[in-house]
Formats: sequence, C-alpha cells, structure tokens
Amino acid sequence: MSDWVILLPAFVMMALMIATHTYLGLHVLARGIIFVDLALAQIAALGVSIAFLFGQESHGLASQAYAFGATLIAAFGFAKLRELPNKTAREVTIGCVYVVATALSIVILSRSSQGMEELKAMFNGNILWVQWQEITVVAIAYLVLSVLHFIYYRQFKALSFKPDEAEENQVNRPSFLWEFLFFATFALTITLAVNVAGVLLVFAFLIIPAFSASIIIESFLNRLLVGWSMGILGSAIGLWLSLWADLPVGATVVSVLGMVPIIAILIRVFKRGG
Amino acid sequence: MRLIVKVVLFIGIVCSSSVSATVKIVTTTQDLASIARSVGGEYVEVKSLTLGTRDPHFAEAKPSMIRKVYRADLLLLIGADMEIGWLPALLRSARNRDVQAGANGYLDLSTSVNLLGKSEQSVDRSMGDVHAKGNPHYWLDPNNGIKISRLIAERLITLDPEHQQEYQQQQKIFENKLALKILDWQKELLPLSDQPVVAYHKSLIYLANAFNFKIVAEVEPKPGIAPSAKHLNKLVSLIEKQKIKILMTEPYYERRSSKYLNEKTNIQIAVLPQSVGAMPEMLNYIDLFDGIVASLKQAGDF
Repeated sequence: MSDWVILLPAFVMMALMIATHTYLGLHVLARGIIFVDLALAQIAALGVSIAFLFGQESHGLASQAYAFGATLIAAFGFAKLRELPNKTAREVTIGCVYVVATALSIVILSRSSQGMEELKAMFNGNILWVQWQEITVVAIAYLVLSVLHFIYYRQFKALSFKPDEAEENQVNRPSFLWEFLFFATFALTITLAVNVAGVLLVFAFLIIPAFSASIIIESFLNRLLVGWSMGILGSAIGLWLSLWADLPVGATVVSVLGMVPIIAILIRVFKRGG
Repeated sequence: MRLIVKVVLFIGIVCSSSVSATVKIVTTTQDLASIARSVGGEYVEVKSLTLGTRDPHFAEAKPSMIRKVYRADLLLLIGADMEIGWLPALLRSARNRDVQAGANGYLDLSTSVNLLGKSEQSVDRSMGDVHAKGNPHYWLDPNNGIKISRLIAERLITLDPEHQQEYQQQQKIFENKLALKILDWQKELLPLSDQPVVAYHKSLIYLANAFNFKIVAEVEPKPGIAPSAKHLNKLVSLIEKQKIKILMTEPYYERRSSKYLNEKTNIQIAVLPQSVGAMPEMLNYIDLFDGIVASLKQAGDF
C-alpha cells in the first residue's frame, strides 16, 4: 500500500465535508450566528452521552439516532431564534446551549471512564480510521441534502441573506417551517460529520473556507467556489504534512487551515494595492 | 555509468532479499517488542505501535501506524480488551489479511497467561473501565514474561520454520536469564512481602501477585475515574489505620491526589515505570523490572 492510499479515505471524507460545510458556513456567516454549529455539534455529543447512559455502544446506529434526535430538538429551538429581538440575544442563547450541553455530557459520563474518552474522541475525531462504508453513508446523505438545497436554493438563500423579504414573500408558507428545515439539514450534516471527524474539524471546515473566501470575493457562488478550492488545498497540504511528520491527521489539517484566512487577507491587501 | 546502474541494482537485490528474509513484527506495546526482539534476534524486525511513556489503553491515530500494520507479517497484542479502543479500527484501515484476527499473523498474548481479576457478573460501562476478560496488565508479572516469550517463539517457528533452532535457542536464553533475575528481584523485595500498599490504578495486581504484597485500596474509586475528595479522605483514615507505607502509581497518572495523601499521611509515593520505554534508560523487559524494584526500594527505604 503506497502512502497516499493510507490517506485516501480521510481525504475523500474531508472533500465531502468541505463541499457541504463551506456552503452551510456561508449561510451561517450571513446570519451572524457562527457558534450555532459548535452548539449543535455539542448537542450531538450530548445525544451520544445519553445513548451511553442507556447502554448503547458509541458508534452504533442507535447512538446515532439519539444524536440526531437531540440535534433535531435543538434545531427546532434554533429555528425560533429569529423571534428574538436582536443579534446579541441570539448569540447568548447559542452560547448557553453550548455550555450547558457540554456540562451535561460531562456530568452524564463522569461515572464512566470510557465515556470520557468517548467525549474526547468526539472532539478530536479519528478521521484517519474512517471506513469506505461510513463514507458511502455520508456521501448518500449529503447528496440527498444537496439536492434538497439545490431545488430550494432561493428559499434558503432568502432566509439567510434577506430575512425580511423572505418573511414578506412567503405569506402562504410559514417562514418557521423553512427555518426548521434549514436547521434540520444543518443538524444532519453535522451529526454525520462529527461522528467520524470530530467537532474540531467540523467547526474548522464550516467557518474557515467560507470566511476566507468572503474576504477575497463577493457573490455567493464565487465565494462557494473559492472556499471549496481553499478548503481542498489546505486539507491536502495538512494531510501531506501529517504523513510526512507523522502527526495526528485532524489537528494537523486544522492547524494548516488556520493559515488560509491569513493568506486571504494578504491577497485582499495585494489586490487593493494593485 | 552502466557499472553504477549494475551496482545499484545489485545492492537493491541484496537489500530486498535480506529484508524479505526477516519476519516483520509489529507490537502494540514496547514490552512485547522487547520480548519479541529477544526471541527473534536477527531474524526479525520489530516495531511498536505505542510508546512506553503513554497509557496503552489509548493511542492517537497516526498515518505511520497504518503503514506499520500493513507491512507486518506478525502482529503481537496484549489482548484482554487492552487495545479495544483503537486496534480494531486500525486493523480495518490497514487491510492486511495476514494479521487479521484468526490469521497466523495475529497473536493475542493474553492467551498465554492466566488472567487475574476476571469479572463474574456482567460488566457495564457504569463500572469504569473494567475489563470483562480479566485484568490486561499481566506483563507486570515477570513470570508471565516467560510464558509470553514461549508463545512468541512457537508462532515464529510456524511462520518461519527455517529458523526453528535459533528461535528455540534464543527463547531459552531469554527464559534462563529472566528466571535468574526473578530470584534476585524476589530477594530484594522480600521486605515488602505481606505488606499492605495502595495503588493508583487497578494495574498492579500482577506485580503484587509476583512479589507477594497486598494492594488494600486504589486511589481511583473505579478504574479510570479520578478520586473525589470524599474518597481521598476515606483513604487517609485507611492508610493511618493500617499504617500503609507505600503508594504505587504510574508516570502518566495525575499526581495531585497522591501528593495530597502524601501530605496528610506521609505515605511514600513510588512512581513505577509500567512499560519498557517508560523512562529513557529502560531499554528492555529486564530493565523494566530493575527500574520497578529500584523505585520500590527507594520508596520503602529498605
């Protein structure tokens, strides 16, 4: 087995994540609720902790169902966020959800050492050991979600980018349902990714490519394309570095991705100068 | 120019043939690696997946681990669920049929020894990281080191019958050397026999068994779970009541609880290396017990 074959499953999984997460990241940035994904990821972890409490194995389907159920409830709550008076109140709510979900997981798992290990694993992830079967499941789910978002591209975009207009134009369809649908798809995307890649990598893929692209370029589609390219490039370099220096894959990739916004800022400065 | 090409080709052939002649062994811990090296000698090439400085229950996923397992002819593991958290995933990713469970290249050394601490009732996670199959820290009884070396020799002979004699000889040399050392260590630790001690984790029952001391309590209330203040205070009264003199812990466990007990009761802390490589001077399985014995003698002041 040559070296790149070792990293191929991890790379394919990362590519799938970059494809979906950059898109969702642009939405989240536009809404100004950046930490909603951390909160959702932590809720997913809480779901797995509860599954533990009832004696389920950590990577089984049952614990996945618990995780998704928990995030779905949270998605319902987050869909109501718009009813809050201002941005600060929304961010505070999200922050509270994150902190309390984390604390609850720790309390639930404090009686079980392997549970604590599980919590750590959920944060760091082990993308290196991802299996092709897992990737297939994720790929199919992401394909379905992508088709959904492609068909209703306008509705979803209007919700994030022109919220007032969206509410006016859809008198016959309650806006809340669309909000819920958005957060539900978001929750499913994250639950699947957290399970294999860990919270750290999920958060990095959601924010960094989308943010970096937003620094350089304007329209939604351009940002998506630039974000994808930057994400893929950063991941490839990170993977290569982890192989070359034998470092943990997820954390190395995140460290490399950290350089991307800096490069984006440099490009912006250079463009202005030119 | 042609000559250079020929020389390079020749060297390549020589190298590749000499490499293919050795059995490539990959082990989950450095202890097994050390014993395998003693038994296999020059006919094997041994690599360990984890370092002796780390807790072998956990391992960080690194690309090199997949590479090592993929290229191995023989995988040696501690077993008894010691590596349950990471080895199955690694074996799936490495896709090397020769070392999958059940194959000749897969050797679970826990089958060579009598495991202690087997749980009678069913184990669930609320009990901490209890091992249903028995306590997996069995390499800490040097008598088990002998059993491990025998099983490794047996398997090496199956895989590489050409060197049967050498493996048998080398195993015998290792066994004799270790047996002599065991007598020394037992003599040195005689003052400890029948003495009550406290251990941090439930990992030292084999050592206690080998050298005849009694672990009356653990700092951890349940394996893998850090102690609460209430539990520590209970330990303080127990230590004072039974006049316990030594607390044994491993380098990678938190030291704060042990220090607290030391301050309250003046119990001496013995930091025991638990694996080959736990400290830089511990190069092999015999060094490991030399280190353990020295550390116990210092703490017990005998």
